[in-house]
Amino acid sequence: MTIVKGVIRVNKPFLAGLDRLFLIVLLAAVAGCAPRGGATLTPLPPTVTIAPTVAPTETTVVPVPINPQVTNCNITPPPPQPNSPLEPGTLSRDIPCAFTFAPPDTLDNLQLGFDFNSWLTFAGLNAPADSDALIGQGSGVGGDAPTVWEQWKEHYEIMLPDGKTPAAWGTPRLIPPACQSLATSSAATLGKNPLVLSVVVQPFDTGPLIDQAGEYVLYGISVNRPMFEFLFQNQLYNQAGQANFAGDMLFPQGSVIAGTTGFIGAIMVKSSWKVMGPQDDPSQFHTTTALMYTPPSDNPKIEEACAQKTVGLVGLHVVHKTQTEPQWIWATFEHVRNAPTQAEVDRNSLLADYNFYQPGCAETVCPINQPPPRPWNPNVIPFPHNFTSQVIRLISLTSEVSDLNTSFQSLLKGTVWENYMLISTQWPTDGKSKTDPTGAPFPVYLANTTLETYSQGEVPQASSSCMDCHGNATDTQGRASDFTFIPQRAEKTP
Amino acid sequence: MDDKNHPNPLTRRQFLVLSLGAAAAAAVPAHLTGAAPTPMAKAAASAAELESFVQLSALLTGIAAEKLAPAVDPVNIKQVYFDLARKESGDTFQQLLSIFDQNQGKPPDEIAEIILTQSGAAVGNLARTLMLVWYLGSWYAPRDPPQYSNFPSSTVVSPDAYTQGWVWRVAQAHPMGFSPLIFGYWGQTPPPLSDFIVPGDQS
Repeated sequence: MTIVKGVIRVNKPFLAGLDRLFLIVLLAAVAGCAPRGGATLTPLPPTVTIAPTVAPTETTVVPVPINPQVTNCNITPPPPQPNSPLEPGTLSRDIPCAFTFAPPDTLDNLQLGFDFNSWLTFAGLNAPADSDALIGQGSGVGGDAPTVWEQWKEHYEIMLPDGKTPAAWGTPRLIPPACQSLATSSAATLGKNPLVLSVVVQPFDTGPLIDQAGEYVLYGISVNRPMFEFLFQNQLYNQAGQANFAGDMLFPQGSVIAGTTGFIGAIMVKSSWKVMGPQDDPSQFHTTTALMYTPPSDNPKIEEACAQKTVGLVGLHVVHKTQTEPQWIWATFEHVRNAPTQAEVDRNSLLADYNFYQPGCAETVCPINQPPPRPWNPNVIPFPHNFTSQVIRLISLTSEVSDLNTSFQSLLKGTVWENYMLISTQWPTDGKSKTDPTGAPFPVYLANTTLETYSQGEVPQASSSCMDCHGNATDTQGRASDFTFIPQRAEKTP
Repeated sequence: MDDKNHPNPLTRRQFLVLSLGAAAAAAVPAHLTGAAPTPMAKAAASAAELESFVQLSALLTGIAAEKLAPAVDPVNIKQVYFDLARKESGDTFQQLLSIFDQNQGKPPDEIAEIILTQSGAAVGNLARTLMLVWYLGSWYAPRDPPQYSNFPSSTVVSPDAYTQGWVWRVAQAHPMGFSPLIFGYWGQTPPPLSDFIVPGDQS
């Protein structure tokens, strides 16, 4: 899987001109408010209005820990078999701090452990952000609610134009100027932290994904607090900061010390969303009201625009750095009605409709897994000439993953979350290898049909492999950036 | 290679009886003797043969078995090569495995001598083909060594086999078009050869 490179240009950054010293003092003030766990958010007070009357001394400047110790690591062991029934208590707001599994140390059993780990993480991160309820127990239709991870920092809030200092964790979402009037007039609907979705093209410019209504699929990238604090406190949000950074760019790791005590480590999430149209049933999706921001472009000519859209989640990458998986753990989920598998198409075992596949459409009319013709302009809706993406999943889910999905979906029955499935989890089989920095990942290939639509398959270096791709990531100084492309977005300071 | 192409054709049973004796014949897996094996016995025999194949491959390539076939093996190229060798060289492959099994207690050089020069051209040539497939990821039809000077045709087994070719790692490098190494590796000294071919890089 790949996290797409995209940029939002914001002309009036939220924290323009904020003195860094004041910021450190502010962080010191909230040091005692560190969350008890990675899934627990503690909003910070507004920042720009605070100014110390007395210059702080060195001894008083204590930044918040980048990766604070927590006491709520989820250490639930995986079931003995993928189809073993799960206890209702399996669902929790707490996420695993690290990978834990029960022997034997075989490929299949390890895979089961990682997949179970992925589902626990999915459940924790998609728990309601506005209460202490579990996933699927929110106040909305189908138990829906704004999720924990949707409150995290989006990538464009960190890598600001001109390398400006980002706002501290917990401050309201940074809204692009083109969206501000809309955000103000729709504040009641959008809430404090509306998702701002601006990316419509998949990695390596392979193309956008167009749903059955001719709407572009939208993408977002968010990071959790330890990942943000690492970038923030080390001033890795601009090119000068990266040049001055003497250490290795190694993000904080999740780990378990004893029992449920440990460290969460860095987590990044990439999401894909489809616009909810008349043909869609929002009760079958996790939905949110997002701002769809279209940055201006000269080639092709695209006007800057912003629109408010109700969108439904169709794909989710969850990537977690842990002590024993320095190449990170890469899990990917999808909506169950995204696309059929090749095997299902071959035996004509199809649903009546899909999000990104039209049953019965001849391949000459609906070419399989092909991007739409250029130009790609998200302001032109529906996509010209009635183009819709015709997507097929080229690598089927394993029977073990399908069984595990069934188990979790039964726990989530009656909620919007029963409509989501794990595709797989890629993990390093040899994380400490001296000769393979990617850690010999398994499965070798992994793609989400909404996020790597056009790079599915099993061709080395061409087909989607999370670690193989992200192992090439660097910062702006040409240094390896620990499997994330986010540091590469840092801009120069004037 | 089929028996009809062997310079001195023997049936599988004749070969075993003549060259390995009655004791060896008694150790032949049930599926080779005509008795109907149970599914479990068949699976066990297959697993044992695969393990023999890995050990034989380690002997032929000089690369540790743990490197050729890690305990947690994400690519499982050994199974691909094993299935291919069995498909392409059926009886000769079984013969080669049996010879190896019967001589496992001997020093490696001695086993190699037996396989490459004392067991007939078919066995020796297949052993060379196995070396080539492990190193190059390509299958060369077994043939006498002099014929290799004529650039024999070969088939890349699969895209994964190409990336798994050991020639790249023995050269402390990577295949053209594919690299698991991180950005900037070309400016750094590669790890020592021992890290690539000898177990113990977990330290």
